[in-house]
Amino acid sequence: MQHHMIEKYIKQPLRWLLQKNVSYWHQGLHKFGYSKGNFQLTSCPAEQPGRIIIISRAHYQEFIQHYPVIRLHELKQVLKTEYQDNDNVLHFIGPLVEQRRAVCSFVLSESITTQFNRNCLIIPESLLLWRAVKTEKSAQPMVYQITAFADYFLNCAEAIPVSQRINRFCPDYASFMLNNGVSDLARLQQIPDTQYANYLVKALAKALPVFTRLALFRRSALSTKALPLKAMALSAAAVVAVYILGVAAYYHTAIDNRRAEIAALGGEVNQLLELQQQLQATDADAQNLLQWRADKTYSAQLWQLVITLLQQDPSLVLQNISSENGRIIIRGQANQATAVLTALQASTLLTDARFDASVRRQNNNDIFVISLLLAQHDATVQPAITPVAAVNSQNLSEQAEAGHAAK
Amino acid sequence: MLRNKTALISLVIVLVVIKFGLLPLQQAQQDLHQQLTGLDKRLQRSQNLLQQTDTLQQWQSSQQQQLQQLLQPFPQVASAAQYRLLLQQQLQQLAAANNVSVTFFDWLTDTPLGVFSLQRGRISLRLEGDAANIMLLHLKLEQQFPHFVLRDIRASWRGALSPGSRIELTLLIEADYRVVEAV
Repeated sequence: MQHHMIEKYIKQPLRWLLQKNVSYWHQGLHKFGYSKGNFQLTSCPAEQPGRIIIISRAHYQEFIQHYPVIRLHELKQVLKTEYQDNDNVLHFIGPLVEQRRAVCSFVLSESITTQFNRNCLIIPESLLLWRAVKTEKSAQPMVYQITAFADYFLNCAEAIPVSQRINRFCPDYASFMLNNGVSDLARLQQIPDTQYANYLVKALAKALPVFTRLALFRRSALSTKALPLKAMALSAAAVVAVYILGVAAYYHTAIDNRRAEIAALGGEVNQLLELQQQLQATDADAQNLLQWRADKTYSAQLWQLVITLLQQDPSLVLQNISSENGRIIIRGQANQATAVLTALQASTLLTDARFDASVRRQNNNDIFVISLLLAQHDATVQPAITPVAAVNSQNLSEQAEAGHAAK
Repeated sequence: MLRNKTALISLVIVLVVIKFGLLPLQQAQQDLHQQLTGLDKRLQRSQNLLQQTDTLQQWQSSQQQQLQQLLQPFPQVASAAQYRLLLQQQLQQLAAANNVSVTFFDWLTDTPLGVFSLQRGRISLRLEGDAANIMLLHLKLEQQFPHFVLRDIRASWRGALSPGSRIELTLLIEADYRVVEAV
């Protein structure tokens, strides 16, 4: 006994899916119904067919041929060429046997395919049934007789389905055997009409893994309606043309507007532009001039420094003064050259003083060369050498002379 | 085969349309876009410039003042030859006034500076006189000739430096002056 959960959550949904999406077509639409563990097919002509439609044997013809083509894709190309004018053909290709392949071509009648106005999968019932009940090689060959809906015999002992309707060309099993070369060992089994729907459902379940090989995809007339390519191309071209014209018009209008605005501002802007350039040029010239005169140095305060030195050190005798690379070079001799340098470094009139050469001692005097960098004050605002300073300088010079005389 | 042929022809037509229709159009549109962008920038700059009218005028007036101040030290002369003579006379007068003699005056070179019609003359000047006079003259040179740049100084004397010492002062002077053409 199955668990009720399996029934509720697996079987019932599957059954619902089957009843909603799978239909059977024989002289009209039939739907699968379910009652007391059995499926039945009931006619529902007014309803919409499902996406999967099993077609009764009455609505197609079977053509069985053998092709000496080994490669499968070549065989498909051959079949495509052979049936190029017919879209309602499904080929079932059998296995390669003795360098040949048997092909069963199911040709659906035009009248049936026009019945369906939406995309669907069409499965020939003999192919579906054969796929489910085909005889294994080791088992006894079987031939089924189906009397429900379309009467036909189905040989399940071959590598491809072989079926034939029961009519005046094939009135009985013997005729079917004779027509289709069925083995004498084959056993005939009749499928009861009441069980036929169950057989189909089981066959559907078994055929699921190879569904695409058994079904023909049929586009609805609406879907297969040719696209209005010409109208689409014209529309696209019109849109592109309008876009191009629109963009060009926009750019030209905008450019004209900008030019008009610039022209309106033109005279004043040009004057301002010239003024700006002139100001910039003048500024650059002024900067250049300042740069060229940046190294101007004032040197007159040098004498004030010299006078102060002579005042402080009576032994000091200066020989000459010169300039080199912006520095003042003082040559002279004194009792202590370091004292002279110290006195210089203490002065606020210079920023740097140092010996420029080694000090030599001669006759109790240091002979020195001192280079110094004068502090820069604008001479135009610098106080001139006062007479007092001149007098001082005179006194100092006298002291210096006295010092030399003493030596 | 026929369907393939149609598809191929369609593909070729599409490619030709793209190559000779759409791409040149796109290029033309890009050119127009760049032109418009350039005009936009130019217009923006023009408008910005107009907004800066007052600033530019203020800049102009302040620059004129600064320029006047900057060029004030430089004498304006009609010609370089005339100024050479004039400067030599001025220096000699100044030296004489301070009891110093000009023993050497040589106008070495004359070079245009290229800004504000300025010229730079290089002068070698040698002065001789008493120590105090030379010192005073040196100071007056720097005070009275602000357009001078003293490049090289050489002072020499005999014996120890004293008020009575005769100093020989050699100067290398750069004198900047403006040559203003007569109107």
